[in-house]
Amino acid sequence: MNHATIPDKRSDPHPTCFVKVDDTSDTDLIRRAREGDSGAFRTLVERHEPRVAATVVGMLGTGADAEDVGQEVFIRFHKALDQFCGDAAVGTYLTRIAINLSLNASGRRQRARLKFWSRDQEVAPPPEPAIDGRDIVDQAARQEIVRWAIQQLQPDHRAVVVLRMMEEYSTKETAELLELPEGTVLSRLSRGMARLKEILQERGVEP
Amino acid sequence: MKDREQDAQKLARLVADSRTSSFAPFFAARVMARIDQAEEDAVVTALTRLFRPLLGLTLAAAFFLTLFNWQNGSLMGADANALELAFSMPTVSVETAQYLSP
Repeated sequence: MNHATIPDKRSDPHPTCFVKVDDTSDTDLIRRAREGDSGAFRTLVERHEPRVAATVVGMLGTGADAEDVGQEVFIRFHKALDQFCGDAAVGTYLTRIAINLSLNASGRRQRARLKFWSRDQEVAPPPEPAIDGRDIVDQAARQEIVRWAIQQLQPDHRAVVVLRMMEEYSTKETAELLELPEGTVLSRLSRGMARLKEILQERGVEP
Repeated sequence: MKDREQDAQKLARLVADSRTSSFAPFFAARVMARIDQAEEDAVVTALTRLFRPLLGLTLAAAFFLTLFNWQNGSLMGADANALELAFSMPTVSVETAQYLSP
């Protein structure tokens, strides 16, 4: 797979990060939150929930541990408000926390699975694609299968796929977020995409 | 080559379309509740940390005060019980009540 073919949609994928007005608003909200204004912090949570949810649910799937990790991201941010110097946009800073906590949770989940699950217990099967009279997979079911397929990737490949393809960060930004060389990001993306395509084809979903 | 490029773009679109953009409803409220709880816990922890060093000192002071009261029990009268001796409480009688009333 040619990585260069994946479109880099950084022109305006995350307005909260790159539009100056919103950055200023975030700065103002952070200043007020530091002064003890809980309403300001709540606004920050509401504003950045979509991005954190995309990263965490992309990494862990929907479920109680994704919600816990999502909450933990904002709690850590709240604790670190005084140390947040604004070098990175708030969204990028939160994504970094979200991806690290998700990778930790993923590791814990994998260890627990190895420890407590017997060999004959399998991961929950994927949803069956709903097919209408014309063999067209229902859109919602299709998305559910894609989310399930992403969960089947190795965590380090999944992190790259989520950040690069779902969150639409550039290769350079993904490399910075994961503290990896760009070459490693590209090779993981390539392997992740190839595996994802295989899994989807096995489930009858053609890209 | 062009087919592979199109495949990659379709796959990328498929992944982007499966993006979830929210947690369960009232997520922000749950986060704020956890932050409030964490702040309350922090106050309790800080108070515990503050008063823990005083615990031994307070117990020692209470012990010596009780010992002192006990040793000076003769002032309390012969019929004073152990509790009255330890706390140096005078025996309540009609005479003391009349004495203490204005």
